[in-house]
Amino acid sequence: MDSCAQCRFCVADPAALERAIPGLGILSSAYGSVRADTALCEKRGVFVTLAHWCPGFRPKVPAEQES
Amino acid sequence: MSTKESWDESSGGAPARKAGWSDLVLKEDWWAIWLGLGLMIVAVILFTNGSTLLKSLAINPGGLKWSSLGQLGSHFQQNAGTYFTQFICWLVLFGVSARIMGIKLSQFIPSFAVLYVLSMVMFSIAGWVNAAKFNLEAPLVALVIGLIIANVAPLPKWMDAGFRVEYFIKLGIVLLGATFPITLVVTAGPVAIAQATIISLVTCLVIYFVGTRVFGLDKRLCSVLGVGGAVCGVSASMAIAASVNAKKEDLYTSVSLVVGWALVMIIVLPFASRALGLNAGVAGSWIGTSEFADAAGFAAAATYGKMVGNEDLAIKAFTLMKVIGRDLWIGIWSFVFALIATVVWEKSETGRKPEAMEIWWRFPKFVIGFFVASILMTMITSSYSTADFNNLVRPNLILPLVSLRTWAFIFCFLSIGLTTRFRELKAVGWKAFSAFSIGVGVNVILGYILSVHVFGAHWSSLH
Repeated sequence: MDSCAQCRFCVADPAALERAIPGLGILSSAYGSVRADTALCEKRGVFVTLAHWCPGFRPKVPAEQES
Repeated sequence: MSTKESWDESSGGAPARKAGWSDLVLKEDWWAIWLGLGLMIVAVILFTNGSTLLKSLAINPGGLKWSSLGQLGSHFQQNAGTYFTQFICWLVLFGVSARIMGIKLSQFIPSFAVLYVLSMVMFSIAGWVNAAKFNLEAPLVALVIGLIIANVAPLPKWMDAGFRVEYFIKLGIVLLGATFPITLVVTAGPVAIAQATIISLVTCLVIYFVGTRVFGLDKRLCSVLGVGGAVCGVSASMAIAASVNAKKEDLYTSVSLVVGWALVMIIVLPFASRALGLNAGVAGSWIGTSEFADAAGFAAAATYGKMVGNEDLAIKAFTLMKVIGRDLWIGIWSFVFALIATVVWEKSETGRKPEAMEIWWRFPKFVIGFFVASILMTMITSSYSTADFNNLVRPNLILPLVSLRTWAFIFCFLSIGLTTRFRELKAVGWKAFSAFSIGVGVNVILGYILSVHVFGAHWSSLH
């Protein structure tokens, strides 16, 4: 099943998450265990887990998958 | 029907996530454990073999009590090689782990070098013979100077790569475990957990219900704010955000409120504790129930401990209350809110099934390192007599580890200041501000009553 983990709108990279939420790294960290697989859906502007899915799914282009 | 609504109604949960082994090298919690336990084991091996290498390497100018710049200069001149070696050791340990976690070395190395130099300046200020007279405690000085730099002459944003607040505090906590008798955890832990449970439940529910019922705020925003104020600040908010599908703005609001109030608390709580004449253990407990972020709480507890000449006790009480008592609630709240979101708010709104494994997935793993370090060191040192412990073990094994922990804490406190750019924080609406602030008030007042009146005898007898 296609999930957010394979979606082009899903921001799960810790560095990208810290850029997306200014101030996140002041008293927290996207590299910590408590984040687990929390990710940000750029399309809907909501937090999801990588196992989540929705009809708005769009597959990552190959270059994104490699990175 | 909007596109968002149609997605929400037909979205669903995928199969359960797998707890990846890659987390062992990709999450900073695990790296804090590897580095903390690694340093402890190296320290024990060197101590057992009669080596004083770690003792000489764990140098810092914080305890100099210098009265002239000449004295300070002479100290650095004599120990330049040792400081350079220490810097290289920290750089290699943090640099390798940061690189594996995906942080660019080209950004990490220069920023960490700046952080190290600034940390030496902070230690030097705190090592001035008159520092205590002017409340120039190292944590407070590091925070204030960091804030001034970040908001008056900010360093480039890319340098945040080396200012890893959470990584440094987690390493400090694991190293703290090496000097924290497990017997103390066993005897004092249950009271801390009981007190933390009361605080966590009451504060979270107050923020949630005041936010939703009184101010009519969105339930997702209120759950993010409630857990942030009740458990562990932004980290807890981030954990809950995915459970309830909170909006990006919800977490951003939590960041602004948590950072704002945490900074106020770092300054206010130590001075309030001194004005109230609190015992260091009682104050540590109160700070542990009033501060919602570990790093900020350690700064406040360490500052008060230094003010009253008992930093160790203030930090121990804070650790019992915050790290052992409250942080354990992150996964539980995450699971509970996922359950509420699914059962009460309807599954279609969150698109996933709650799983009890959530409690483990979101467990702050560095706490495991704290316990392991505490158990191992208690076992290792239990065979020594009290006299041998005080004359041999303490100066050659325990104090060097305390010094390394102090370095990790200073890196953290300075990083808080250096990364806090007020203009980057979100302007928060008065309703969200009010709901969260009421929760902060409950935290502080209830925490004071529990720490001073209900469990006061327990916390003041801690040693």
